[in-house]
Parts: sequence; C-alpha cells; structure tokens
Amino acid sequence: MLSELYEATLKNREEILRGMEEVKISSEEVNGYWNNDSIDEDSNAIIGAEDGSMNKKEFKGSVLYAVDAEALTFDGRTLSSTPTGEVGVLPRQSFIENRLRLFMSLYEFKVSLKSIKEFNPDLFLLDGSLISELVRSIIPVSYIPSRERMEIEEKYLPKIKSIYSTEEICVKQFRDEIKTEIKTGSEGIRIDPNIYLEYIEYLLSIQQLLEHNPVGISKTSTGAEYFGSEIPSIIIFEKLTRSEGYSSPKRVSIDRALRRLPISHRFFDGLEFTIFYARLEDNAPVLRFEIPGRVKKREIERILSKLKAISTVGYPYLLRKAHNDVIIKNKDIIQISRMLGIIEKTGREIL
Amino acid sequence: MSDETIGRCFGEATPTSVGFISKKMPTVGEFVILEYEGKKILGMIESLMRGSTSIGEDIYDPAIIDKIKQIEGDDYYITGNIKILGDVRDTSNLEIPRVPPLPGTIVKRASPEILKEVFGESKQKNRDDMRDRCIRIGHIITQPEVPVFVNVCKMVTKHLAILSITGGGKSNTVAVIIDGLLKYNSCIVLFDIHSEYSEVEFGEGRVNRIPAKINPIYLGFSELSNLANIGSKGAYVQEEYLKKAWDRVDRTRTNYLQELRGRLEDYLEDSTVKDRESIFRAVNKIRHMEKRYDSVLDTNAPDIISSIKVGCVNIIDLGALDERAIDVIVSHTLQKILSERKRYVKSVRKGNGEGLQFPVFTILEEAHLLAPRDRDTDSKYQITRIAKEGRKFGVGLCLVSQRPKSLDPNSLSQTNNKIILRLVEPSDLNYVQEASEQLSGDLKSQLPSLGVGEAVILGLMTKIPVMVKIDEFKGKISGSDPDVVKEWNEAYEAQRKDLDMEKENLESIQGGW
Repeated sequence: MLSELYEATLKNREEILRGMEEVKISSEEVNGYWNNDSIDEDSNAIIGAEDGSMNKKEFKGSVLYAVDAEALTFDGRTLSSTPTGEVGVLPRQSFIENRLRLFMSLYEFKVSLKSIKEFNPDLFLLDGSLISELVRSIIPVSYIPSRERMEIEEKYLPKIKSIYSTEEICVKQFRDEIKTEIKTGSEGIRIDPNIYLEYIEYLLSIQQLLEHNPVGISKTSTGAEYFGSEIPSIIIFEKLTRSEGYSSPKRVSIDRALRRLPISHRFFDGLEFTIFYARLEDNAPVLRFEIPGRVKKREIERILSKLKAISTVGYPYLLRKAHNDVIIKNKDIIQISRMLGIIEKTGREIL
Repeated sequence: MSDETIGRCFGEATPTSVGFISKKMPTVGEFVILEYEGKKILGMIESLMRGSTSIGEDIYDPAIIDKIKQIEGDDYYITGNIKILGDVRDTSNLEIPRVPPLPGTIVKRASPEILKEVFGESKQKNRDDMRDRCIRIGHIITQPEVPVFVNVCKMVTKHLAILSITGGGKSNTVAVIIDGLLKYNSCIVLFDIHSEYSEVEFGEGRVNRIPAKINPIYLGFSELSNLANIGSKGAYVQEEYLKKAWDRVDRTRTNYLQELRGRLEDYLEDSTVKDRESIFRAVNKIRHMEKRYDSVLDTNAPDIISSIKVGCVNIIDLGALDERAIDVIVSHTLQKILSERKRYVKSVRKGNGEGLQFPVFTILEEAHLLAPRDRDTDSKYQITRIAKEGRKFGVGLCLVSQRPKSLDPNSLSQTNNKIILRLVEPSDLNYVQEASEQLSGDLKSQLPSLGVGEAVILGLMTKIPVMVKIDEFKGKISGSDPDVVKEWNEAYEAQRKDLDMEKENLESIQGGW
C-alpha cells in the first residue's frame, strides 16, 4: 500500500504543495502589531500553574480510564504541589473521549481552585486555550434533547450547587439515579445522560476559576484574529519575528452558541477575553495568551515580566513540570489494567 | 541501634545481586541489610547513580539548569546495585541465599553492631585452636567505628598480594601487617628491594637485619652457574666443564671459588682437551663473577637460614644490589626456606625435628621484578613453587607490586588474598580482575577513586569483600616521596656557603699579598 501512496505523492506534488499556502503578509504589517521591547524579569511573585492528563484502554464492553491533574505553586523559595486524579471504568458509548476530557478539565479546574485558595498566587497559569475549552466541551451535550436537559437541570442544579467542592467530581453520587441511556438520531448515538450533570459541574467550576483571572497559555493555536488571513496568527508572528516581545492585545468574545448555557447566563453572555501573542526569549517559540476580561498593555507587561523570571527556553517552567508530572502514558494505563487484573479482550486481537 | 531505611529493591534481581532506588544518599562500599524469605541478608553497595527527572541530557544551557534548580531545589533520585554477601544470622558462615530478593524489599543501612560481628575478631570456640586468630588491618571506609580484622592463618597460608599505584599506601599496609603479625611472635622475611625499611622500627628486638650476603659454600650448582652467567645463557659446553670442576673441588673450603677457577685453568693446560675457548670463557666468567659480586659473596657469611629468627621481621636489604644479584639472593633464600620447612615437617612425622622449625611469611617488595610476566628468573621459579606448595609447609607469600600487569599471572592468581589499593590503568585493572574471582566489575570500577590508604580487601582472610581504610603505621618508613624542594634548597644553600667561604679565603690571601 505504501508504494501506491508514494506514487500518488510524486504524481500530485505540485498540487499538494500549492495547498500549503505561503505566508503572504509583509514584515511591516506584522511589526505594526509587534512590540520589540525586551521583557524585564520580575521574580517577586507567587506563581501557580496547572496541567492535566488522561488516558484510556478500551475493552469490548467497557473503557478503563485514568485522569489526573496537578497544580504547582512557586513563591520564590519553595515549590508546592497539589495533585489529584481518578481511575475508573465507563461503559462503551458515544463521545467517551469528550467525556473523559470533561473529567480531566474538571479535575484541572478543581485542583487550580484549591491551589489558588491555599496559596493566593499573583498569577495562575492554565495550560491551553480557555476559549477552545469552552467550545469543545459543549459538543456531546448538544445531542441531549432539550426536554431531558431541562428535567436534569430542574432536579439537580440546586443539589449540585449545594454539594459543590474542589475535592472531587461531586455529581458522581447521582450516577445511579440517572441510568437510562439516551438514544438519539438515526446515527444510533448513545449518550449517558450523566454527561450533562458533569457538564453542569464543569460550568460551575470554570466560572469560579475565571473569576480569579487565570492566564491560559497555548503553544499552538488556530486563531486568526490579526491579519485577516486563514493562516493562524501564531504562525505569522513565529515566522516574521525573532526577538522577544509581544503583540498588541485584542478583545475576543465567546461564541454566540455558548451564551445559551444552562447556568450563569449573564456571566458567560458578557464574557470577553483579552488575547495576545508573546515570545519570552529571543528565538524561542511564540505563545498565545488568553486572559478573561479587558487587560491593558501595562498589565500585560507585568504578567510577562513575572513569567519570564520562571521560564526556560521561552516557556514557563511550572507548566512544563506540571505536564511532565501528570502525563499518563500508554504503558501506564496498561500497568493499571494489569494491577486491576483486567484480562478482558479489546476486540483488536484478531488483527 | 535499629537499621535505617534507605531505599527499596527494584527491577529483576538474582541471588547475588539486586538493584535499588533511594532518596537518601548512601555511599559506595556501604553495607546494607535486606530481609526476605525469613533471612537477614547483608549486602554491599557496589555502584551508585544519581539523576534528576527534570535535568536530563537534553539541556545544553547551564542557565536553564540554574533556573530549574532555583524552582525545584535539589530534586534527584539515586539508583544503585547491591552485591548480596550472605545471611548475617550466622556471621561465622554468611551463607549466600539461593533465592533472589523480591522487588520492593526494603533496603536498610547495616548497623555497626552487625558489622562488628562480621568483620571483628572471631570468637574462638577452643582456646587452644589458634586458627581463628586475627589482626586488625583498618576500619570500614564508610563506618570508621567498625574495625576490620583479617585471619592470620588464612592470610599466611593462602598467600597475599598487595597491589597499588605508586603512593597508594603499599608500604604502610605492609608495615601494619608486620606490626600485627609480630603480636603473635611470627616469623617474617622481608626482601627490601629499595631499602625502604632501613630505618623502620617495630619495637625492641623485633627487627633482625640480615646482611645481603651469600656464602658460596651454600650455593647450589645451578645458582652458581646462573650467577656466573653461564647457565642462564645456554652455554652448555662451559657449563659442562664448570660442573666437572665443581664436582672435584672441596666446597667446604672458604677459598673454593679460587680452587674452582684453578681446576678450570688446569683443563686449559691439558693439551688433550678440545674446547679451549669455552673453558677460557668459563674461567673469565668465574673471575668476573667474583669481582662483580664481591660485596655479596662472603665466604664468612653464615647460612642465611640460620640467621632467620622467629618473633621478628627479618629484613634483607637489597638496595645496593643489581637485579641479577637480587635474583640470586631471593631465589636462594626462598629455595632454602621451602626446603628446610619441608625437611622439618617430614622429620616431625619421623619424630626428630630437623630443618626450619617455624612457619615463615615472606614479603617480596617490587614483586614484578622478581616474578616478571614476560621472562623467566630464578626467583620466579621459587615463588611459583612456594605459591603451589608453601601452604602445606607453612611458607606464605606476600607479593607487593605497583605494576600488577608486569607480574607473573600464575603467581598472582595463586594469591588467594588480595589487598588492592588505588589502581588506575585499565590494563592493570583488567589484569587484577582476571586473577581475582571475587572482584566484580562494580568493585573494580571503584579502584581508581580510592584515596591513599584505602583498599578493597578480598579473599579467604576476610569473610566477605570489604572496602577498608588501612590503619596508619605509627612508626617511620622511608617509602614516602622525598621533599625535593626542601632538598634542593638545602643543597643550594650549602653550595652557596662553600662558594662564599672560598671567596673569603681568596680575598684573605690576596689581602696578605
């Protein structure tokens, strides 16, 4: 089969390369947005950061999963860690990946809130884009019919608010109450309605977290806010600038669809983010920053100064360390399944 | 004192070796205890590695490491390998378990109490049985409060090698051993190649200095022939005539060498004799030998065996002699010691005690000169004989060398005990490892990093291999390096004073004129 692919590659070479659109934006245009001033270091700050990980192993009838998250805080002398995690089994259903990502996000938010409460950092960093996080999480929920959603909201929203804590996923205690699987659409999509409870708890958590103005940092991005091109802005800044510096900020509102969320309509309806791009060190990669609310240039400079003090090779070390600490590799989930003595077939043995 | 936990076993283990991981900082050579299968097992940490999950080999900028350390502090892990030595429930036996330890087995530091039982003096069961007598050699490097003793009988009868680069502490080690053995009124014969022990004292009446002299009367024919450079050169015709003459002279007379020469000259004057040139050469060689070894050959010297005393270190100072003379004296002495001990042991069985009545421990400094790897010497022959047969007759060898790879491998491998101080050259390290079955790769890798006076002790004289700091000999040995700067300065000052004095004298003479 590979030989056919190679043949196709050679045959269609020009057409393929044409599809990789070149950056046709001038340096002057980019420099119009880019501030080359060097970033001073400010090491007098308490900085927190978090990351999470998930992995799963699918068997014929069920899915074994592991989810964890860690918040790190550094006050200039001591590094503190707040870890959390869970191992469990779910039935095989549609959107299992999304559901596990929801678990991971829930743990990330809760561990962040716990750490913020304990250490009161000047700056708290989240790995990844908050905006993308909000967009991605709603996908499976939209398949649940509105009637079922309203019933769940009416019955469980007050309970969830009353039992909410940062220690665990609280809605798990209601799992046995809502057991009936929802089948929807001609595609045969099967959804566990508990996913809606988990989504509600997710929204409550993210709302609480956003009130503390965390900074979302992404290494990659599809956002194209700056140049009216389809090419992501991060790539344009990366290619056409070299020195440390940052872009002028832009305001971004969340997607209209997200404004019709089941809880805290006003909070999410009026939610805006300030986004900008920055390079913390000459020749290091450009990063995308997202901060809830309106943030001015001076505040951006203050944030970048504090970040630069704890960055290595242009990336905040706490995020790098949190990532390395939480990562759950395939061999780890296999080890967990061995520890549990799970010998069930995956279904791929016939290959 | 209870044993302190320092880590856990991990990975695949064998009955003799296991890996472990630790967050504390143990040291190489440290002893640990592992408890499994109902046993309490002693082990030694043979190797260690320290690393960090955050500071890996993919970082190329020291400033990055500075920042990581600033944030994380000293976050590291330690892994290592433990050599399993035996069950300490019976410290006299230390049986190696037949089962490997379980992964996850706790690793604890061995307490000084356990180590003192293992390395201390053995508890004698029978007061008359002296075979458990020990001498103190030093203390465990990692635990100075634990002294290390070695078994005297096993050291002497199974032979010993002391190996180290120059300045590693060999002479001090020899002195400590001699000092210890003298407490048991032992008999030691020390061949002092470089006069290092010329001023050493081991207590009143404990040093017997034997002049490096041989009475030709006591030389065997082959010894004489080699000394004259006839036998060692394969000059068979010369040797034949020399033997003929040797058989005819009265070898009890003090001038027998002159008579021997005279006999050979008589053959020359015999017109019927064909090999005149060979005889002429033999005569010249005898004459040359007499002149060359004028300081060694002494017709008034006693038999060297009769000069050896028990309860003493008998030092034969060979510093003034050349290699050939040293070879002759050493081989002659060793040959006599072994033959006289054999005679004694056999005669005891018969009921009469003739020969050398006490065991002898022979110490050969610069052993690579006496028993070299790449050529044959008379000493090497005798050393090999003692290495093979000496045990039965109470003749022990101690080979001391700073060039192990130049030492005869047969002789070295026959030394069942080894004290290996610092060795650096890879060829020396490999050579020594081949001759020592107890020297593992990990222990071998520690040898270059040993300090002065630190050693790995292996063999039957100790229950298990151990890394030791050898005690310091309280007396004086001249083996240490000279203070060259001091000596230069003194010589220069003396030279200057002489010049000044001459100048003064000249001026006074000129003034007189």
